[in-house]
Amino acid sequence: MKLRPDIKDNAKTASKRLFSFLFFFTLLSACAPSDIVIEGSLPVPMVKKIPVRIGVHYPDAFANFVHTETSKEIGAWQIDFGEQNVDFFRALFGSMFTEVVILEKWDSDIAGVSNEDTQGVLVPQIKKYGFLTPFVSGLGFYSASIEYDLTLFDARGATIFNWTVVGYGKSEGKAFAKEEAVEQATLLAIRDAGARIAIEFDKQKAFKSWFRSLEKAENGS
Amino acid sequence: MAHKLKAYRLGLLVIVFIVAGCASSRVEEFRATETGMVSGEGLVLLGRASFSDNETKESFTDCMADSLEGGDRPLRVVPQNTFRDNFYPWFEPRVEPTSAEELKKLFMEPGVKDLISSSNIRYIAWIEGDTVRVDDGGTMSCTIGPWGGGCLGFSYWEEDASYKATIWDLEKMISAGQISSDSRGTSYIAGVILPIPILARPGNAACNALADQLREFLTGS
Repeated sequence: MKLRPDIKDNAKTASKRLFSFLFFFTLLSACAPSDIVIEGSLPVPMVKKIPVRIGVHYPDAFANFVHTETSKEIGAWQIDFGEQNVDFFRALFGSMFTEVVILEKWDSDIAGVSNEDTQGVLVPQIKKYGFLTPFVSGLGFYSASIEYDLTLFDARGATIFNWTVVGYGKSEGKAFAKEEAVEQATLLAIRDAGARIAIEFDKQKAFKSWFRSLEKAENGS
Repeated sequence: MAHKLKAYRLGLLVIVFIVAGCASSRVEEFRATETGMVSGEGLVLLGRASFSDNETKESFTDCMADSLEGGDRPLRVVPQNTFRDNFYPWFEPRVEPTSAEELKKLFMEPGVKDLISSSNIRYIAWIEGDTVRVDDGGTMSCTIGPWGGGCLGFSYWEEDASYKATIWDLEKMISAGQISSDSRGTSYIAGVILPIPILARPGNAACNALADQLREFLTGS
């Protein structure tokens, strides 16, 4: 069966238009910035509770952490940690210590600030965050790393110890789902750092000696 | 006559697909102790993660779990993500036990032994390995335009899937043995306007071979 010439021409024009549309759509979507809000659930650790009444202060930079990065290789990215950081650390510290008090304000620079409600104050911060795409790393997966900085102060504001914990996460990723892969890798990096904090926090030398002094003070009184 | 010739050609093509797409497997077993599973007891398959490129992918352990849960003698397999969440942080990639000795220490942590007992998990099988491309060659080019597209050429690649399962008996607190599986297969893709793939799936062959042998190992039949 032969098609009429006008129908044939229309079909050709339509296919050209469709091809052009798909071509430009692909180009445009490749240029679009990648905005991610980290969401998802993280488990609550099953660890022995440290018998300390701890105050925790989440600085604004920690609670509202947003990472932005633009480069020729990966394009423009904005990764918003959303509620994830604070939610996870609340659950983490809640399972690590017998009692946790959230401190809305805390300034260790003010000498002699006394906080009678808690035996110590813990301040988490994010020092560094980074991610790699397969295009940059040459490996077949997306990866993310987070460097957390934990500072423990005594109730008077003197630094007891400062500990840096790095969490890693990776995700295999799927075609056209790079944002999802980076989000998954980031969640796993938070989870990885949390595991180390939960297991190794009370094994830190400075913590052990501070804890002994707390016990001595309690037994003496 | 023409129809018969077509059917003959099609049949020949199917046979070529099946023969060329095959992967050969070799399985080895080392047993350190007697094993067995009573009704209700389960096992968990955990992929060893090393944060390198060559680590066990979740899709492989999922494939093994599907294979073990099916068939004439299905086993109860606890999903690895559920297990890792329930036992967080003890089975996270960088802190998980690497020997039966470390497992004994882990069982002394509060709640771990009780949770294993209440979950009725008898065995942990640690899965290590990866599927890697060992050889490739040939060329094929494809073009697409508004008036259509097509491929021309021929290419092949050979893959090696090498995996090992180390089985820990959680009742006896010892390593019960090891099973290894090695599969190789060559895949082809021929471009005759349409790309015709003839795929060998050594990863899938290794998964099924390892799962079958693991079932034999655990149930002793």
